[in-house]
Amino acid sequence: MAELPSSETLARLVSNITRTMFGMSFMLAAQERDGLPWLDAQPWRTLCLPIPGGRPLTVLIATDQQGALALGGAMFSCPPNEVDRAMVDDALGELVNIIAGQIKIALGLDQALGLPRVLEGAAGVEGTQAWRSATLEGGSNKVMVWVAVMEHPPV
Amino acid sequence: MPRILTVDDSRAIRSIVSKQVLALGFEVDEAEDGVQGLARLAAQSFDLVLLDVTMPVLDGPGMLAKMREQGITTPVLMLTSESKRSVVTSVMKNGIEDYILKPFQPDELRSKILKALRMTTTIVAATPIMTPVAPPAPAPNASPAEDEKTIDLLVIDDMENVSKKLRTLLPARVSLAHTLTSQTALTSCREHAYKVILIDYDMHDVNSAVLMNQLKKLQPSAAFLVLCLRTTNDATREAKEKGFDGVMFKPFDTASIDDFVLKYFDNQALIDVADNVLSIEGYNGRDLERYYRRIDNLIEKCLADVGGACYDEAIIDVSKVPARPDRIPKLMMSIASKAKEIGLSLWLVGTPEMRRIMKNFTDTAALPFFDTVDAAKRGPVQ
Repeated sequence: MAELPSSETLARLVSNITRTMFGMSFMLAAQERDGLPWLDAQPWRTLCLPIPGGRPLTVLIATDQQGALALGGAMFSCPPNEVDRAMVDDALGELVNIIAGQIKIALGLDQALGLPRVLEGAAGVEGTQAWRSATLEGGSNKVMVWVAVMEHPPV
Repeated sequence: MPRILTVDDSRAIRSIVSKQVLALGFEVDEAEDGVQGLARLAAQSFDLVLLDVTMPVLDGPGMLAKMREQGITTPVLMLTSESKRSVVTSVMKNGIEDYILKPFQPDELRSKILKALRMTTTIVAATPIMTPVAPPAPAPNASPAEDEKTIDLLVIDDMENVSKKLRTLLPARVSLAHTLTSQTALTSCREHAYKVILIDYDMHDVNSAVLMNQLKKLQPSAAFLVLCLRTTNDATREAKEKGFDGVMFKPFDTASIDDFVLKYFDNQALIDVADNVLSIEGYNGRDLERYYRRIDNLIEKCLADVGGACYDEAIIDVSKVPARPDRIPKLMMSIASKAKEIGLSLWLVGTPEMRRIMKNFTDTAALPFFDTVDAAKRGPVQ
């Protein structure tokens, strides 16, 4: 069974997606911390997407407010100050969907993607048996994005 | 003006797609799930649907299935992050033009849209959809020679639509047989000779490599290719390791099919060389630009052969070459340049239409032009 992707792989994968879709690159932040950094940092917005099946996974993306508005603006081709909460959720939901699709391919999994949903606090993250995450910074304003893939015990 | 429907639960993706469609000068409408998509299709006709897979209410495969049930044959491009094989297989079964995995570049999307629209037009206009050719049953009084007649291609795939689609893309001169199971494939290979055999990678309860090895004993001179989805990782490497001669990816695209035909069925040389006369064969493919490029690529060696035989001039017979005013002068200039490098004079033979095109173009107007090869052999009238 393939191992969950490393932080470096997650960073490359996310950056490849954002660069392809709207020309924004990301790299691993200088200070990658242990633990669940997106919870410690209390991100402004978090969305997750389940990949149910034989090897259940959840993929998660979280950002600070500046990052959410920058990503939303990039995806909708509009200035960040015109991005509202619904647009942020839509953009992050689509991003986590594409990231999950790429992780699935990287792991060689033949499982269907679930639908993205907004995550409040740590709900939905409990029961994680293994995980990998990456703290990324990117764009001209060095916005922060956290990405994680979590593995749950098979149902 | 083509009208395109984008169906995706993400407003961001609909926005990106709409922008690209509008940039192409086409009309676009949006729906955020399969139910809305079907309602749009019921209200007006579209030339193409760009369809996501994972959506609430009614997902993409569900919408596609209902479209086909209702007799809506609008071409569909799947645009999705989903690569699960059963999903891809189910949508292919219902007939799609292409399957685009996100992330995609805007340029890529535009080119796929154009290709899908062009492909549809071509199928309708140029090649009527043909029923897949079943392996012919031996006629009671047929001679053994007729029974054993070689068929160009055998497709072994449990989805009949695969060979139907392939039939629409292959030139009519390539004969095609299709079997749905490994058992019928074995029977067919005992009865007929095939040049190329395509085996689906994902047949239910069939190991494609094992089946290939069984069939190879019956068809030792056939080429074996595996048919698989583009989502299959390292398919080419895996196929080679298992002993296949190559891979053909589904959904099919015309460029790959042209390469396939060229490699396995185009035994006739595009340029026939006899002494210093180079006769270029006519166009019978699906990609005219590719045909011109092939001529341009192949002619250099032919000219070298003529030069090597110490002729002073090369006679190029372009009578069968399509006389396209936008392409012929460029091709002839390229050929003349190659001939000049070798030290050959170029004499052309062609139709009056071709002569007119050449005379209207400054750089090709001076090239000696003849109505027949015999006239060219006699040389210019002094």
